[in-house]
Amino acid sequence: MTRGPPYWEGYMLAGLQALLTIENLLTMIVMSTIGLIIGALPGLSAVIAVALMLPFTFSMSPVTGLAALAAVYMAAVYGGCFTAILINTPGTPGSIATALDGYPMCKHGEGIKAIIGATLASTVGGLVGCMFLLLIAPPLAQITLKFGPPEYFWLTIFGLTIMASLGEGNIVKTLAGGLIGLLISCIGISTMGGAQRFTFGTYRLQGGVDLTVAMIGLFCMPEILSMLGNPGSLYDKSKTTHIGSVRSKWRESWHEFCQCKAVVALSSLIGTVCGVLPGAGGTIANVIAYNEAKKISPRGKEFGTGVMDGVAAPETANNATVGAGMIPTLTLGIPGTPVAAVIYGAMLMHGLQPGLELFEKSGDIAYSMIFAFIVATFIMLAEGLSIGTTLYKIVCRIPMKYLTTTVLLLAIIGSFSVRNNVLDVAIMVVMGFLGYLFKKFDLTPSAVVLGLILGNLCENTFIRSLLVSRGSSIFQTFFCRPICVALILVSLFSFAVPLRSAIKKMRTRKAEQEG
Amino acid sequence: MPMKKLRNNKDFFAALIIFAICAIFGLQMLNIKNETDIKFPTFVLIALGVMLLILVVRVIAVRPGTQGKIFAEARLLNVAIGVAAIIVFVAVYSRVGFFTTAFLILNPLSLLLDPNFGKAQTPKGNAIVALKTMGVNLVILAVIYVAFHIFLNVPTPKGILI
Repeated sequence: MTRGPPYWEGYMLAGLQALLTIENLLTMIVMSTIGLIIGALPGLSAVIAVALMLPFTFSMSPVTGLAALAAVYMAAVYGGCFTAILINTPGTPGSIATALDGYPMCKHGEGIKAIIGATLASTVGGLVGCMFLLLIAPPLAQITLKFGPPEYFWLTIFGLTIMASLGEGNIVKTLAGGLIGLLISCIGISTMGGAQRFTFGTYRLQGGVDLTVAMIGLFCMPEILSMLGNPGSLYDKSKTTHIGSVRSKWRESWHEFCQCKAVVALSSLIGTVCGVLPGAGGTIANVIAYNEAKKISPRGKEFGTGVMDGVAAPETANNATVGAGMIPTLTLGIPGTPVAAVIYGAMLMHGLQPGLELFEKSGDIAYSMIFAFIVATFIMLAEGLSIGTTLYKIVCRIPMKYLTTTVLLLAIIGSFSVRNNVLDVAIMVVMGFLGYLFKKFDLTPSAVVLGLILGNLCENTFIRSLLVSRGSSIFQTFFCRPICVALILVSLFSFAVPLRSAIKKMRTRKAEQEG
Repeated sequence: MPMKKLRNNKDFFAALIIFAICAIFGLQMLNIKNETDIKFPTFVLIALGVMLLILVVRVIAVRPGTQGKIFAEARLLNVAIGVAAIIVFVAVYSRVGFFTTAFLILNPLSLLLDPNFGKAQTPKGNAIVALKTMGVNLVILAVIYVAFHIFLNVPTPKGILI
C-alpha cells in the first residue's frame, strides 16, 4: 500500500506542533546564543559547538534535544562572520571569504552595515537550505549518489580554478599561493600509500597541518603584526567614532542588501548544492559563492575593497549548507559533514535511525527537526541584529593595546584546542609569520587556505579514480562521464574569466605607458 | 639591475620565498620512496617551479606595478619586538603555564602599543599607566580563564603554574 501526501502532511503538522512549545523555544534561544558565541571565537568551529552541547541534550526529549542542536549548528555557522568582519579572523572555516570584504567595510566604519548584511544573507541562505531540506530532500540526495571519485576530482579542480580570481590582478602569485597550500596539505601520513611526507623527521607532524590552525595563523597573525607596526591602523577612528544610529544603518544596509538579490539567489543555490555533496560543506561553498558573485555582480571589480555583495555571497552560501547538509543525513543516513556526523550520533542516542526509515517510523520527529532549523534561522536573525550591532560598537571602543593582545590569546587557545597539541600553536605561529610575508609580497593567503582545503580531497579522488579506471581508459574515466564534462566546462570558464581580465588589465597598463 | 629597485620589488621577494619553499619540500621529497605518494607532490612542485620561473622573468624585465614600499609599517621595531615576544611565549608557556606566561608577555606588548606610556611627564604617571594596563590584562585573562576553562571546558596548556 502506498502512502499519499496526507500521510506526510500529518507528520509535518505533528512535527510542527511538537516543536512549538515554550520549553523548546526557550531551549533553542539559549542554545542559539551559545552557538553564536562559540562560532565567533576563532578556532572553535560549528563541530566543536555542536559536540560541546551534545551532552546537555541527552536528558532532553528527542524533539527538544535535536532542536537544541539545530539551533547551535545554525548559529555557530553564522557566528563565524563576527570575527571575520571585526578583526579579520574567520571564527569558522566557513567564513573565510567573508573577511575579504567584511573587514575592509569595518575598517571604513561600515562594520554595522557588514554585520546587518551578513545577518540578512545568513538568514536567507539558512531558509533556502531548510526549504530544500523540507521539500526536495529525497530527489536531491539521489543526484549526489551519482558522484564518484572522478566527479569529485573535477569538483576539486573547479575549486582550485577559483584561486585565480582570489588575487587582485596577479594570477601568477595567487596560483603560487594556492600551490603552496596544496604542498602544505601533503604534510603528514599519506592517506593513500601510508608514507610519511614532509614531516622533517618528527613524528609530531604525522597528523599533518590542521586547517583551522593554518587558517588562524594565516589570517589572524598578520593582522596582529600589522597592528603592532601601525598602532591605530585597525579602524578608521574618524569614521568609527561616529557610528550613527543603528536604525539609519539598518535602512542603508537593507537598501544595499536588496541590490544583491542575484548574488544572494546564486549563493543560496551554490550553498545548497555544496551542502548536499558529502565532504564539500560551508568551507568550500563560501569561497565558490564569493568567486561566482564576483563574476555576476555589477560591483565585481570592487570586490576586496569592502562591498556588500562580497559579504552577502559567502554568508548566504555557508548558512545554506546547514539545512542542505542534513539532506543526505536524514534521507540516506550518510552524514555529509562532520557536524552532521555529530547530529547523526545524537539521533542514534535518542533511538532514531537516520535514513529513509526515519521518515517512515518517526516522521513527526524528523519534521520537528527540519522545522527546528527554520525556527533557529529566525532566532539567529533576531540575535544577530541585536548582539552583532552591539558587539561592533564594543569592539570599536576597545583600545588597540587590549584588542591586539586578546586576539593573540584567542588565536593561541584556538589553535591549541583543535587537537590539544602544543605543536599546533607553533605551526600557527609559523603560518602566521609566513602569512605576514605572503601578504606583503601579494602571495594571497586566501589562496593558500583554499589549496590546503582542497589538497587532500584532490589527491585522494585523483588516485581513487585511477584505481576505479582499471579496465577502462583514463580518458573514459575522467573525460567521458556527463557530470565530469559539465564540471570541466565550468572549471574552464571559471579560470578563463579572471585570466581574460588580467590580460585586459596588462594591455591597458601597457597602452597607458606607451601613451 | 640597481639594488634599490630590487629592494622594493615584491615579485623578487615572492620569488625568493617560493624558491625557499620549493627547495625545502624538494629536499624532503627525496625521503619518500612510495611511488603512489610521490605523484601528487611532484606535480605540485613542478607547477610551483613554473610559477617561480615566470616571476623570475618578470623580475628581470622589471614589470611596472610590482614596485613599491613593501614594509610601510610606521614602527617596524614594534613588529620585531612582537615577533620576538610571540616566539618566547610559544617556547615558554607549555613549561611555565599558559595564563602566567600570558600575563608576563602581554603586559609589555600592551605597553608597547600604548601611545601614552613613556610620554607621561613624571615616573608616577608612567607607573599609573603601567598598573592600569596590568589590571585590565588581568581582568581579560580572568574572563578568558572562566569562559574557556570553566564554562566551555576547553583545555589550555598546563605548566608548573596555571
